[in-house]
Amino acid sequence: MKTEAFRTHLGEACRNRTFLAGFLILASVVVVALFAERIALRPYDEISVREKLQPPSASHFFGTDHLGRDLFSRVIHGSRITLKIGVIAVTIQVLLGVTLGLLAGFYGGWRDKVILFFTDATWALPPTILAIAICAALGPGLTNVIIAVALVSWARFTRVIRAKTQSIKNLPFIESARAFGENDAALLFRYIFPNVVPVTIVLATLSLPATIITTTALGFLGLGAQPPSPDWGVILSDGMTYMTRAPWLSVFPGLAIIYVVLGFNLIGEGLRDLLDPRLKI
Amino acid sequence: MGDFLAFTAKRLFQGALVVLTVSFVLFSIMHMMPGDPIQLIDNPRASEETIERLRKEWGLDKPFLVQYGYWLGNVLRGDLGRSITTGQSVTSLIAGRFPFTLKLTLTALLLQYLVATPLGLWAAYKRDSWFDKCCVVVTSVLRAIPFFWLGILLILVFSVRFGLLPVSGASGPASYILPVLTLMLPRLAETLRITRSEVLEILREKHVATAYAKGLSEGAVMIRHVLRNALVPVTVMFFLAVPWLIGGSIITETIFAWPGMGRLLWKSVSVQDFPVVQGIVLLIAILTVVSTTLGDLLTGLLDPRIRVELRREQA
Repeated sequence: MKTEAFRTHLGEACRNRTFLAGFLILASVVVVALFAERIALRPYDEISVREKLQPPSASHFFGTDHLGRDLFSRVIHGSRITLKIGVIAVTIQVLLGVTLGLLAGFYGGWRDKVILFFTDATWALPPTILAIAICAALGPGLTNVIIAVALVSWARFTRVIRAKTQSIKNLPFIESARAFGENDAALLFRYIFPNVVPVTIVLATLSLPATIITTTALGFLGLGAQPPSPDWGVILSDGMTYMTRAPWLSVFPGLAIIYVVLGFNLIGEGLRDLLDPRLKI
Repeated sequence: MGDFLAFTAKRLFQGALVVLTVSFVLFSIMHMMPGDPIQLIDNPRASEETIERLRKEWGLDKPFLVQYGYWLGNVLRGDLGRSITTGQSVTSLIAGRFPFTLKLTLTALLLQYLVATPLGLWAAYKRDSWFDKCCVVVTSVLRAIPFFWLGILLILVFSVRFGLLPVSGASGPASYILPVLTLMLPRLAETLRITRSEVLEILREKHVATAYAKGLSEGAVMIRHVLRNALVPVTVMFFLAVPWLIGGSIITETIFAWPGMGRLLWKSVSVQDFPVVQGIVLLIAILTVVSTTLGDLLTGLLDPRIRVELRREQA
């Protein structure tokens, strides 16, 4: 029975072209990240001064940088950093945002007011600014960027999940579960939580692109990953210096970012159509 | 109108509370930062007594909350402290840079709306035509482009390859073109999409059918009934876009060496000049709260349905 239902869902997913395109793009990125050592031609930090600032060629697909490092290998390895930061930051956002949203929506009253106030306060600052301020306080580095980006974007989850919880908690099945003597914790996690999972998945996929763009921007500003890390933002900021002599340094990492972001955007929009078509984000 | 005044008062109070919270968090971060302000004088000959006297004079021996009170009082009088690196007053530093940021962001914002609103209206009106499809494709591509990379690409094409426009700085109208494009293109895509979906929704409403049934011409229906209603969310978005633009201006100003507030913020962060960072972030928080509050108030004023909902919520 279950496999049959799964098959129907799979068929539906395959017919949704947006989802399929996004899925294929993302799958290719994951494969590249997993097998980076095999795909890359050489280590991302192998310096070869004789070959510095070489244009793209058969031996260096994307050319080389000012230290003669192979740009293709660096971009390939960079996919790991991007996926890692994105997934960790969004996981923190989900844990924080969904928990607060469930609590605020379920209990209402003063708890709701307090949580809502902090949600609004976080929204009072543009994410980039808030992330930069947090990085300024914590100092540059990959971990701090993850913390900063997670802390600035959980509020969206809280808002959506709160509204969803409010509408679910008055449905008859919650009433009957309560009548059977289920306590609050069980109601929240066994009855309400499963119903907000689809929205959470859609929100998380749609929030990944923004997270990735913000983290690469912070890397570009020198606040995130530090050289010689092959972070795409770091490569782009290095490339700015050699713009006239080596424009390929500024082109390829950007194309890589677009590819990943486009993949997540498509998959998110596809998932929204499949799971919750009325969701307006 | 009475309930609108109550709504206004409530929103203003909320906004003030949010600004106060942000200021408190900023002060706490500054307080927790390692390093004693006294040591910043960096005079090894200063005796223990002098240091003790200064500590008293500056109120550094007082409890945390009292210090916050002092600081807040100074901020209200327009004194944001001094930069650690240059010793200049933060207020005058910001005042020197702010006009450049304002000129850049306002130009981008106005152009963005002048272009995106008519295009969105037209795309929705000609739904599923080739023009509509082009708009959808172009906007989804634009949305995937990180705006800082867009800036780099524009420099590569227009300054490096063709040598048409200046690479950096703020000298004359030509230097505005690339930074303004970098700031406005991604937002333009967003505005176009929202205008389009908003117009599509309005086109399905009954009052539009009624207008057609009355025998009004296409143009009259589109402008008097559809555009006027679509302008409500679009106007609100105009105000909500201000903070995003300021956020975007940090990186844009950094790329184009624009002498604005965003670049100052970036420089101050990289040398850990926290008083300057604090001042700029506080100013941005105030700007954001003011513009979102204005946006909310405007929604209430333009769309009576929201006021009704509000009254229901309170009842």
